[in-house]
Amino acid sequence: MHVLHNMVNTVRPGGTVLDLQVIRPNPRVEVAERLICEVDGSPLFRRADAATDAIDALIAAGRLLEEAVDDHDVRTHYPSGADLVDDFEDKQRRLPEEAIPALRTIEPPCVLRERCRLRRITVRCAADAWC
Amino acid sequence: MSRVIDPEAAHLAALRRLGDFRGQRVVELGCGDGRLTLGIAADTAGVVAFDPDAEAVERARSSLPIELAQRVAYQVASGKEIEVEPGSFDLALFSWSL
Repeated sequence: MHVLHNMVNTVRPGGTVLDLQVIRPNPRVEVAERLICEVDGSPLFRRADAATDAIDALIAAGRLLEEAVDDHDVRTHYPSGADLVDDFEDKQRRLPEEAIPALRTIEPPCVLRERCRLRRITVRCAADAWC
Repeated sequence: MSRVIDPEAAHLAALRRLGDFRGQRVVELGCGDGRLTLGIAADTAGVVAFDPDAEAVERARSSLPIELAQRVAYQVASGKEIEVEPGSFDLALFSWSL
């Protein structure tokens, strides 16, 4: 992956890469912490999986060293269900079609909860050096 | 936009758990409107933050506090387009950007 190599090259040997990605399970739409529906996260998971694979390949090659992983939930807050539906109109991820009419009627604040992973990785050596 | 992303600052808390930004020269890819950039910048020696979305970068620039103006540089570019000296940063932050 050209982007990864380009970016890793900007970091000095011994420096740090922090990679933030969305991970499974599917994002959840919640009202007052009660599940309303799940969002198909596969478009984002495909990209995240490719990025993870690219980093893992550099780890396997000895160029990078994974040192720590932090999984955490992140919430995006919407004033209402209709605001959430409107925000998804131009997104790759799709709300379930059958849930949209009911979501539009939800008046209290809604939350989109996503699982994310942060990895701390050390750059072991420069691109043109033996590790 | 009426949404509020991560008001609990869960991302920033995770970054602080795993990263030590003190005195670090940081390059950030996928900075968007600078939400995470602003959270880490004060600790760093400087942040160069990229995003291909010109409108998001403009929002980031317009909301940059004056006390961080000498420490943060926002630029419009994708990861493929970035050209910087190899090894010139201590820490790279990729925000959903690889």
